[in-house]
Amino acid sequence: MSELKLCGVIFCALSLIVVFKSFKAEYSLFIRIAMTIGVTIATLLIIQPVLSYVESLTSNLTINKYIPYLLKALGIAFIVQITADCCNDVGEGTLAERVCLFGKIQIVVISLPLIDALLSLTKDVIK
Amino acid sequence: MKKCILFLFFIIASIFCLCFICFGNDIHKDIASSVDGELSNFMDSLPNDISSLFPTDPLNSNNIINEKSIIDYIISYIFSGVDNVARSFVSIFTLIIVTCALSSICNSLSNSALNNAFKLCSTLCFSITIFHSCVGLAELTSAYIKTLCRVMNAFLPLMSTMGIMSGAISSTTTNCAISVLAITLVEGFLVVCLMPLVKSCLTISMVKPIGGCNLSGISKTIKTAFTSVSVFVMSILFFLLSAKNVLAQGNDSLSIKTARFAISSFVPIVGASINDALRTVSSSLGVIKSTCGIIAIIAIALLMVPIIIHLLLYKLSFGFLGSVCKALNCSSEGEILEEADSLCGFMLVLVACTCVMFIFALTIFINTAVGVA
Repeated sequence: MSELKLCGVIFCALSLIVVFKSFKAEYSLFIRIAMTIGVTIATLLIIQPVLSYVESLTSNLTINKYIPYLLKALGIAFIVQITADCCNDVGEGTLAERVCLFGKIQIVVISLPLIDALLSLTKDVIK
Repeated sequence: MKKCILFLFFIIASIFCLCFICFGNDIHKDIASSVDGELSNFMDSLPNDISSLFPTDPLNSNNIINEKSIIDYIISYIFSGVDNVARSFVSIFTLIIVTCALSSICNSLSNSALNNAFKLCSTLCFSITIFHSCVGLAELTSAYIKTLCRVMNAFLPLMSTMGIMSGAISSTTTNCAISVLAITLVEGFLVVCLMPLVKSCLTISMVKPIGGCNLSGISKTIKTAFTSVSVFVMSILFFLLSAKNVLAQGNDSLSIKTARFAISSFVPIVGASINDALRTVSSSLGVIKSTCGIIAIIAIALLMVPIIIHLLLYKLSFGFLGSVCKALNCSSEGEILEEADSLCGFMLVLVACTCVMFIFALTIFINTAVGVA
C-alpha cells in the first residue's frame, strides 16, 4: 500500500471519527481502534522485507542468535505502546500504565536468556 | 747448536698449531654432540610451525636463519589474523547498525520506560558479543604466555650445561636462578590473574550502560595497579639479572684466570699447551652458546608474532567500531568498545614485557664472557 493511499484512508477515518464523536462517541472509538490496527498491520507488511533482509544479512554471522531477541523486544514495545495509547485516548490512564508495566516486564523476561549467558561468562570472576 | 734447537722448536710449534687447525673442527663437533640432547628437547618444546623454520642440525649448519621462511611465516599469520578479525569485525559492525536502526525506531515511542527496556535488551546482546571476543583474546594471551614459559623451561637445561662447560659457574647459576624465578612469577601471577582481570574490567564497563552507574574509575584503577605491580616486578628482575651477572662474571673470570695461571706455571712442559687447548674449547663453546642463544631469541620473537598481530588487529577494529558508535550516537555500546580497546592495549603491554624480559635474559646468557677469557 503506498503512503498516499494510507494517508488518504487515515484522513477519511479521521473525518468519520469527528462526525461520529458528536452523536455516537462509542462508534468513533471503534473506528479509532480499527484504524490503529489497520495502520499497524500495514506497517508490519512494509517492514516484513526489511526483517527478511536483516535475517539473511546476519544468517552467517555469530550474532544471528541475538537478532530475534531484539526484534521480539521491539515488537512487544510497539504493541504495548499502541495499546497504551488506545487506553489513554479513551481516558483509561491507569490501564495504560498497567499495560506499559506488563510490556516492560515482558521485555525483561525475553532478555533473561541474555542475562543468563552474560552471568555464565562472568561467573568465573566470582569463583 | 742453538740454531738447531731453535729450528727444532719452531717445527714442533708448527706441528702443534697444525694439529689444532686439523682437529679444531672435531673439537667443535664433539662439544656440539654433547649438547645435542638438551638442544633437541628445546626444539621439541617449540610449536611445529616454528621448529620447522630452523635447520635439522642447527649447530653444524652454516645458515641457522632462513629469512624467506621467517617472512613467509609472518605474512601467513598476518593473513590468518586479518581473516579472523574481519569476521568478528563484520559481526560486531552489523550488530551496531541493526541495534542503532532498531533503537532509532524505538525512540519514537512516547513511553521512555519501554525505550529503556529495549535499550537493556540491545546492550545485553552487544555486551555478550564483545565479552566473547575479549575472553577469546585473553585465552589466546594466556596460552601464549604458557607456551613461552614452557620454551624457556626447556631452554634452561641447555643454558646451564653450556654455561658450566665453559667454566662460568657463578654467572650460569645466577642466570638460571633468576630465569626460574621469572618463569615462576609469570606463570603464577600473570597467567592466573589475567583472565579474572579481563572479565572484571569488562563486567564493570557493562554496569553503566545497563545500570546507569559509572564505575569506569574502578576498572582503570585495577588495570593501573596490575600494570604497576608487573612493571615493578619485571624491573626488579631486570636489575637482578644484570647486576648479579656482572658480579658473577667477574668472579668466574677471576677463578678461570687463576686456574690458567696455575696450569701454565706449575704444570711442566705442557702447561702452555693445555692453556691453549682450553682456549680452543672455550671458543668452540662460545660459538655454540651464541648459536643456541640466537635460536632461542628468534624462537621467542616468532612465538610473539601471532599474538601481537591478533591483539593489534583487534585493538584497531575495536577502536574503529567505537568511533562508529559515537558517530551513530550509541554511547553505551561505544563505552563497552572503548573498554575492549583498552584491554587489548593492556594485553599487548603484558605480552611485550614478558617477551622482552626473556629475550633480555637470553642476551645476558649470550654475552656472558666465556669462562676462559
